Amino acid sequence: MASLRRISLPLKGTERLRRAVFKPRPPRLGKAERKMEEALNQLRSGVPLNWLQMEDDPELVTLARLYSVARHAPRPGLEALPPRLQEDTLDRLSKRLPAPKPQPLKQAPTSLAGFSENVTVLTQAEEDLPPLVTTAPQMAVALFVTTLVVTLLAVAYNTFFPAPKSPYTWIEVRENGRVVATSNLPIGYKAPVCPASVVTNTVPYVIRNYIGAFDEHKAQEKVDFPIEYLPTLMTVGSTDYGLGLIEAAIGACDEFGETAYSNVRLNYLVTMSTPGQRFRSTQLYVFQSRQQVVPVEKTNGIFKDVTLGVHKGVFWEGEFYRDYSGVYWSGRGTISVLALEKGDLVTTFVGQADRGITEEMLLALARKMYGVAAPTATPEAAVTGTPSSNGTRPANRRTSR
Amino acid sequence: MDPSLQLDIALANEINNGSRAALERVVRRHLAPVYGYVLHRLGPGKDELAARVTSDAFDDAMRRMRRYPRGDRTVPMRYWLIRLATRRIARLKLKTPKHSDRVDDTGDDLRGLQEAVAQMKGKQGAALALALFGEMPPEEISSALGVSRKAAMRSLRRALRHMGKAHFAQPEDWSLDG
Repeated sequence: MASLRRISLPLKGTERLRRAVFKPRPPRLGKAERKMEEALNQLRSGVPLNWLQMEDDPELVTLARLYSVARHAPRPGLEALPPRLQEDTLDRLSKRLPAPKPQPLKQAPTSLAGFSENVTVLTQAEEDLPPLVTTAPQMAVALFVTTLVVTLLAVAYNTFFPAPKSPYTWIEVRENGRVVATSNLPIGYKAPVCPASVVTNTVPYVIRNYIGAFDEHKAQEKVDFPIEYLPTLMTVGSTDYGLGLIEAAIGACDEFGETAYSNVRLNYLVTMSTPGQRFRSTQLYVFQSRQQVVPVEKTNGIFKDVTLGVHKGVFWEGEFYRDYSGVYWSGRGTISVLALEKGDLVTTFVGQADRGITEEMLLALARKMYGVAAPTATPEAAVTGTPSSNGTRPANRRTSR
Repeated sequence: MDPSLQLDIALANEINNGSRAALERVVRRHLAPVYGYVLHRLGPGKDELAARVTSDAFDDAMRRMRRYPRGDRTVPMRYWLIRLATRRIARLKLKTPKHSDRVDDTGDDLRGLQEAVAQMKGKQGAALALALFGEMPPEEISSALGVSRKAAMRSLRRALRHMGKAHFAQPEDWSLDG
């Protein structure tokens, strides 16, 4: 009986083991819940619900209507808090703080077992006597000669095999993570770093942290260069494009956007209508930065140099890309990236080629944005590097796999 | 692990070791969003009560800070604070005001919507406030409510059904032209 009871009673840690082995599965979403999730995600990304989604679903109609009202609600920031709430809360909580733990003191080393200071131990004669003649001057001369030889070899190598110079100042072309062309950064340039006061030592800090929910004016106040916004309407061939700004985000060191640096990310919703085809929409990200190195990885894709008037840069198209904010674009079809620089400003466009953000569209967009006239040559001629009359010259089409 | 969650856990550990700087950082990170949520749950014009409830929620969090990191089940501190604030709101014995007038989608009747959301009790009201005013995605709503995604979406659907019946009573109001 006792043994039966021992078997039937839960053993120590059984519950933990059961939970670890048989993790409860989250309940599967039903059709109605999935529809609600999709609708919520769609509204959040700025795309209104269409009639087909809302048909026979009064809750989604209500959601769409309430969402349109709720978006006018103010989003309280720190400045909107009642006066003294922050200080009072902090004072109240500080009283509950535990006393700081004292640093553990190092214990004094104890004498070894069997050793007593009362017993006098006579000095033993050492068997390995150090050499009486010092070799320091010889070592110093050998070190000097080695350094000289290495320096001379390095100078000779750089003279006969100089590293290729990049035509860009801020765009840094990389291949398999290595810089393949040295950029022409100004002498004494130092990359901007976040102030030490907002970086904690305990947590690895993500430098390219973007704070969103800014409108055009607020975003402009935070950065020290004029933000260039995209045109709202554009026509390329028979396709009409509408570009609506969803969000302007600034690159910041802290969570509140108070220590911003010269970097901004614009998120656009691009709608496309072509006669005889379905209405399509996709998103386009535009990064703008001042005096910051913008890396472009040329591996595994089509890479080409682009010149648009006074702007020069690169176009890349492939299937795997890491954007300026550190986000990996993978599994999203073909990604198009156009990076253009003028002076110390770099603008980078990132979108999905198979959703309509093609090279032709990006180049047309950049032309319209910067007031460069459209080329008279055919796109095929431009791709093969034929210079056009207005200076638009995509050249050096290369594929590296 | 998500860097934001990593930061929350590190700050909680530092607070448990008596760091005032970490406490300041937590308050600066989360006070405004939690206050905004509480204000939307209580309704417009209840600024003082919202401030008190927010402060109490932070006080509750401080008392339970040692229990915050829970391995794989740790949620971001903001959602944890929202849960504590939701419990505090549930404990309040508020008088239910009259139903507000119809909610119009012209943008003028934001106050009406805020009052209507504030009248909703429990998880339905919380889900609606988080979805409409917090603009949270479904997984964050479920984290903040402390329920599964399915339960969160079900609460939201029920809340919307209730809102639809109470404020868009006529079937023609459901048409897109209206």
